[in-house]
Amino acid sequence: MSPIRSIARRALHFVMRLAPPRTRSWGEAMIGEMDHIDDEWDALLWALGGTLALCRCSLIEHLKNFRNLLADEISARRKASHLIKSILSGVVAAATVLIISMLTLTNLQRAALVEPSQARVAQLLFAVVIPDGLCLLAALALWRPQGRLTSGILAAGAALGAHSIIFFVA
Amino acid sequence: MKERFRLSPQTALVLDTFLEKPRSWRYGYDISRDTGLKSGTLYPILIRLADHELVETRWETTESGKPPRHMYRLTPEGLRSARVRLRDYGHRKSSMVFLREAKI
Repeated sequence: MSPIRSIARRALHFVMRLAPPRTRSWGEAMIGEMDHIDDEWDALLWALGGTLALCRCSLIEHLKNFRNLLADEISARRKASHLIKSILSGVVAAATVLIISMLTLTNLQRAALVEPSQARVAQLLFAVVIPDGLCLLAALALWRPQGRLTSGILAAGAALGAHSIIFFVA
Repeated sequence: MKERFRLSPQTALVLDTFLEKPRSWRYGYDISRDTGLKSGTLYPILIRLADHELVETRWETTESGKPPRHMYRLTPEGLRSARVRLRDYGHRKSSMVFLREAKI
């Protein structure tokens, strides 16, 4: 192989190594074609043109891949943000129910509407049964339309239930 | 479905060359000589046409010692599309003739 042809081949091979796989096969096509060109200078010009074309195509391909990657990342971030917001909303809703329930219990106790002998039962009712029951009902009602919100409500409900059980057992 | 590609004078030249022998397989250098387009212009056009599934490709093994050659021809869809697009392109035909003569 003449030095000119060798240089031409090396140039094409070099660019081919940097090219994305899809463009690489076209580089192989250019190299294959170059070996069928008899004139040395024509072969060199062919390879140089091919090198430029490969560079251009590779650049476009890389930019397209980068744009797709960026779009995927933005979409994933939006999904994650939406998920966190939904779960937090669920937690806030469950916490609101608990606060209302506890305030009701406190008011009942202040107003002496709860007998001291029934205090334990009232606490169980207002701290566990009502808030957890409402959480469960809300989760069942929202399971299909608001799956992520339900996850938040259930998570908060489970934490609340666990805390209450520990409180009462201890 | 892929979006309609832009028909540049050079792409029109390549399609016109394919239409001379619609069902024959053509080599890159062969097309380059017929159209006068350099490899740097020709291959991006071929890549784009192949992406739009207007051109099909295959490798042809040749005589020993030489690497296989990549060959191209219009797909049935490419054939139909090329005829329609070149007909629409008719009013700019004179510029195509000019390009062919000038071997741009």
